[in-house]
Amino acid sequence: MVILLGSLQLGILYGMLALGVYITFRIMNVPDLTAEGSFTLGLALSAALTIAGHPLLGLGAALLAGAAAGCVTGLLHTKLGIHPILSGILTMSGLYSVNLLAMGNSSNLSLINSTSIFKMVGTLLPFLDKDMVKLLVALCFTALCALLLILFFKTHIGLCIRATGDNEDMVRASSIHVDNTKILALAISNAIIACTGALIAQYQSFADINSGVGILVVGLASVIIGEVLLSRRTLTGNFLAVLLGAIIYRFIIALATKYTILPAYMLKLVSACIVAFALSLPAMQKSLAMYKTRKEAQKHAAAETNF
Amino acid sequence: MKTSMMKKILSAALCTSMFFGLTACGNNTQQQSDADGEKLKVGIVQLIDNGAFEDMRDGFIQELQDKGYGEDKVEIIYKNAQGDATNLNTICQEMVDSQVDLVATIATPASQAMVAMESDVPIVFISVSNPIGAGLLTTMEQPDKNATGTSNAIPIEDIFALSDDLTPGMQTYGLLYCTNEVNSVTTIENAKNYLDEKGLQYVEQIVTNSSEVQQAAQALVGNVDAIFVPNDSVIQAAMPLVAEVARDAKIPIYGSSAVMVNSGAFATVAITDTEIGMISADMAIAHFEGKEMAEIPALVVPANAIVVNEDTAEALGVTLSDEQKADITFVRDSAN
Repeated sequence: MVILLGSLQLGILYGMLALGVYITFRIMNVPDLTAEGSFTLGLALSAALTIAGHPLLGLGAALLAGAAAGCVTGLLHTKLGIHPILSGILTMSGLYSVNLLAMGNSSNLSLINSTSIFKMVGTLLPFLDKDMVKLLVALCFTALCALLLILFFKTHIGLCIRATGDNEDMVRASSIHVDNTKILALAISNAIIACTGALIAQYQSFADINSGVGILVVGLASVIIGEVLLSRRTLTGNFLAVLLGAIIYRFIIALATKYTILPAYMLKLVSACIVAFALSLPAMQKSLAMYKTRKEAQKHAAAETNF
Repeated sequence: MKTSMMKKILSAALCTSMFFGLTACGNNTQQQSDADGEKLKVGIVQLIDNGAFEDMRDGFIQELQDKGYGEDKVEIIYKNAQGDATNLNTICQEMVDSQVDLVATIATPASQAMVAMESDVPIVFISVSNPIGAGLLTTMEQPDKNATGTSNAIPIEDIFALSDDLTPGMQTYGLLYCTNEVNSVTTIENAKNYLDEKGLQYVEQIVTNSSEVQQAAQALVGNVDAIFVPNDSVIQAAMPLVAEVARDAKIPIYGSSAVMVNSGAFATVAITDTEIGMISADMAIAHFEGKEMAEIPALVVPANAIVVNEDTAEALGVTLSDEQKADITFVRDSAN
């Protein structure tokens, strides 16, 4: 049960990360590598401020700092004409030092003895058990984040961002400032990703400088799994699909961890295989449908020659 | 229409199979432990693969076997996050879920993730350089978070004293380390304090990943008389490279673990990683034999073995007196 609940908690938390990744990867059509840096940035700031006794402030600071990191990538890309992927890499590697600075030049901070948001809510609602509190907090923040994003992308500026991703030239022709919409999208995306980092730090009670390694893969896998399993035409539908994708991705990892038949060093291969299987479902459906049609056609053809 | 319907059915099927996959496995393990009766389950959690961690794990398991907790009595459940910190939480949840009798966690992040679970599973941490700072316990003598274990303080003074003994007259030390790890940064702080006290010079070279190690080592050549490397897994992994650069430049490298000396560093004063694992296993055994975790004090394991790499000594042209040789364990470059 612990792993079931735990995977659900983690899935919902990383769902927020997946939303952030979705904005750049799907709406803006650019995989933004800033994510690995901004996730750790949120983690570091949140940990440092939680130790100082301000867990909520930690979330706010992460949000703002993440947005700033996104702006830097955006400015590098739009104003200085650096390739978008390279801009992300530059910001990400620069953030490494910033993150160490935020953590007071220590690569690991412990929050085990500090009061996190999860512990605060736990004392406010003493009748709930610890895991339920974690689930509730994760659900509240992710739901709030998704709701705000859904509302935002229906406003004028939100629609401008979506249009920029769809057809940049058309948007430019409508005398909308494309650079600004790009920067704004990157800022929002990284603010959300940093905020996920902030929550994860308080959830797991420690921050480590290496926590962001591979986080973009987690986000991308969640987005794609969500799309494969539940692709919708509306943005709201897509956001929900992405959240579901993140939860399923966590369950995949949990399953791969559960496997004791294979030795421990097979973990990454096992999880890669399960993800590959999930992603190949649509293609398999297609070829199955094709096979059926062909068989049907053969039957008809056979029937016709009989006459 | 048809495909979207099928997609729905397939996704529903996938979700339910995963759900049952997880719960079913949980039930299985429970039944197994019931059937086996007294067989203990011991989990081992590790964040990443490296030589030192493997030695600690082997030492831990070996000591359990030697003290009568062999495969017939103990089931070892070993999990490795393979460098992905997001997997660490899931692994710890899985440990609680499969109701292990004890978890051994190797190094700081894995130990923190397990302690933060606040479960009733007893934890023995292996080789955490600063357990109090990491929040694993409040005092070393009386563990208060159901976790006890070993800390591997690096004997800075002994290592520099060894340097004075084996290669006298070193004025400037190069400090080569990676900022990724709290262990190495703490050790470097201590080393700098020591060198400042003695009025010796130092030059720092910092790397952030293994691709930068060679250039960092080359940057030290010509500016330093000797190199000191803390307990840093990034530099340790690239030690053959660093050793080659240093041998060519006739600079001795003083390392912080025997593994480093095995892969080409000149010398160190260290406890072997296998021994840290063994001492941690003794704590686990004390718990199995009835002691509460709070009654098993956490230990800073003292280092006392001087290890010297003979191949490096030859390359550097260092000759040792018989008196010096008496205390030294000699090794040669290991094949891997």
